[in-house]
Amino acid sequence: MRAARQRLALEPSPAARMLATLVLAITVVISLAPFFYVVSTSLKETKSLFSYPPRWIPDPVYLGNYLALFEKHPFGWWLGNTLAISAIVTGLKLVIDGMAAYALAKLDFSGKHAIVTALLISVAVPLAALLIPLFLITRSMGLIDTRLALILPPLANPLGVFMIRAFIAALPDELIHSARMDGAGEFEILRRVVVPLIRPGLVVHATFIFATQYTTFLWPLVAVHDLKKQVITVGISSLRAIFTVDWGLISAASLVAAAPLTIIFILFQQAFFQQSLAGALKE
Amino acid sequence: MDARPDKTPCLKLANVSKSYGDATALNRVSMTAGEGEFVCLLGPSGCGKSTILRLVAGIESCDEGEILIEGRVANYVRPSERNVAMVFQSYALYPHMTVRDNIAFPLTTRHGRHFDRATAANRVAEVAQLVDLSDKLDRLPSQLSGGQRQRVALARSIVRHPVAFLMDEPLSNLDALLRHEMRQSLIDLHRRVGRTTIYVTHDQLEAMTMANRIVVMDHGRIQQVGTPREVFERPANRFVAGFVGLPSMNMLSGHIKGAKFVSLHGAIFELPVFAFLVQDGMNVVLGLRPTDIFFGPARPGTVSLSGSVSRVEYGGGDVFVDLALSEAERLRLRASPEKPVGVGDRIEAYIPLAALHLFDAEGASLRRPEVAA
Repeated sequence: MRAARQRLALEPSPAARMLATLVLAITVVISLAPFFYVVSTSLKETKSLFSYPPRWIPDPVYLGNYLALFEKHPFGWWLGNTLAISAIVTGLKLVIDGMAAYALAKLDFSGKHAIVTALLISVAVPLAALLIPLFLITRSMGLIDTRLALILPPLANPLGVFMIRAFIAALPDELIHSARMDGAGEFEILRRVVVPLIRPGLVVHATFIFATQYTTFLWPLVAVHDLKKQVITVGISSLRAIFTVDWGLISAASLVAAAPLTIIFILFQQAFFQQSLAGALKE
Repeated sequence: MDARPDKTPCLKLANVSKSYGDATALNRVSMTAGEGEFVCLLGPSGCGKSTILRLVAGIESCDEGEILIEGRVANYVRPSERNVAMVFQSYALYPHMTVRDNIAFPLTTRHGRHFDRATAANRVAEVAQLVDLSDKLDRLPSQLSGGQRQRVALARSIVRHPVAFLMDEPLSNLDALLRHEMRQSLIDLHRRVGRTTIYVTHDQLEAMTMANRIVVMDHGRIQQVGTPREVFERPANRFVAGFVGLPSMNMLSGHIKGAKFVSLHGAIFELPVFAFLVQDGMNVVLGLRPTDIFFGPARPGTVSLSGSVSRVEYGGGDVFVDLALSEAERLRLRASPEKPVGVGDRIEAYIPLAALHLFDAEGASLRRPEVAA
């Protein structure tokens, strides 16, 4: 009897539970409604988009929008370019940011403070302010309208360095000292000791870089003109004609474009939760 | 202050100084450790003992002075090439590697890569057996107890066959019972391995039971170097006298009058003045160890003490009593559990003359060097 009363005291009341369920249900509907609407729109012909009353479930189901993406537009190129460039930038940035972060977190050298300050200042400068000088430099290197123009500039973004530096700084110095005394060089320490221990942080950072690269718009718009070398964000914006907007086509393009990123987030969500709770509890 | 064995010491610090900004961690420290010796660096937190270890290991560099390892100056030698191994307070085990991989790590790095796989595996097995971890080689550190993790850290040091071990309070994270067991294990291990060991601790019991020699430090300076017996029975100054020995030595301030010590509040003690370098009227501090004071009337060769009991502390096998000589002066002594005393009881006690310690106004011992305790 007493145990049952104690259990009841710790659990929410039925009314509270009902209210929570109702609020959550409304939130889910509000969050997913636009998504379902885009799915519905992508499966309809343009002429039936404005029928009244609006129909959530398309009838008949029209796959022409998806076919048109690949048959009438270089959507495959856009998707391939975006995935490849995002993957390459992610891989390179993990290496560059990891090495820089390790040096700033665990090595002592003259000018370290000045370098950190310079990096911090550069983070504060918005891309829009850098657009013209970046374009001029890229053009002088002969890289305008190439895929390299989309790969090289993002490597210079120092934001990731600070993120990884925080993970590495949290590692005990004794681990590094011990590895040095055992004969490991700095690259070996980074590879064998540091990287395995900050893996969840690296996964989060990699996902963040990938998502940023995947959704970038302004620089590709400026640096690349050939549609076959373009990325998916610019490509989708080009689907909008001057006088008409094919919402069915754009909806289909958006869904296909969102798929890889969604899959990545689902695959690595465990790392996100793990990293967000890291340090919250005493070990 | 240093002690010099006859042959080239394994480790030697010569006038080493180290500062962190305005804070002086070490002030012209000189010490040696001979082949196979177990030397304890003992002192309160912040006295510089861990700094010495870090300088010898090469983790930090000294501002002045020389560090010699096997007779060679090591100031500019990389940590991996000094051939010393360090056991950290937190063990510094690699949490993502198994016990086997942790122990084998020094043999697989750039410095240790000249070992072939078979030799490295044999060495790991040999050392694992030495520290009784043969059946735990495939476990991760998180699956081990505190004592087992410490043994992995020891094994990782031993596998390199260094010339010296540097241990930075390796037992401080263990509970009292486990600390006692591991102390014995370390003593056995040192006997078997036979390498020079520099052991840092703030626990005097560890230092007294484990060391061949103790280096007592305070505020970046060496206060005394000696065997445990020397440091306990003939402390060089008030700091050593008060730090070594539990409970701490009782200290009474006063002056010399004739052949007697007169405390600030009038307590008078006969002194064996032939044993001390004193002058009439000199301000001094008299030291009396609680364990040297006994209940009962004075006898020949002892000094009488009497007073009322102001506090009784029961510690199981030991009972400690505060004896008030006057309102402002109290002495701590050990009582027998079989003869209980109560607060307010008037008791008589005595201390052998030979057990008295005397220090000058600056704290230096006034004992004549040629007179034994």
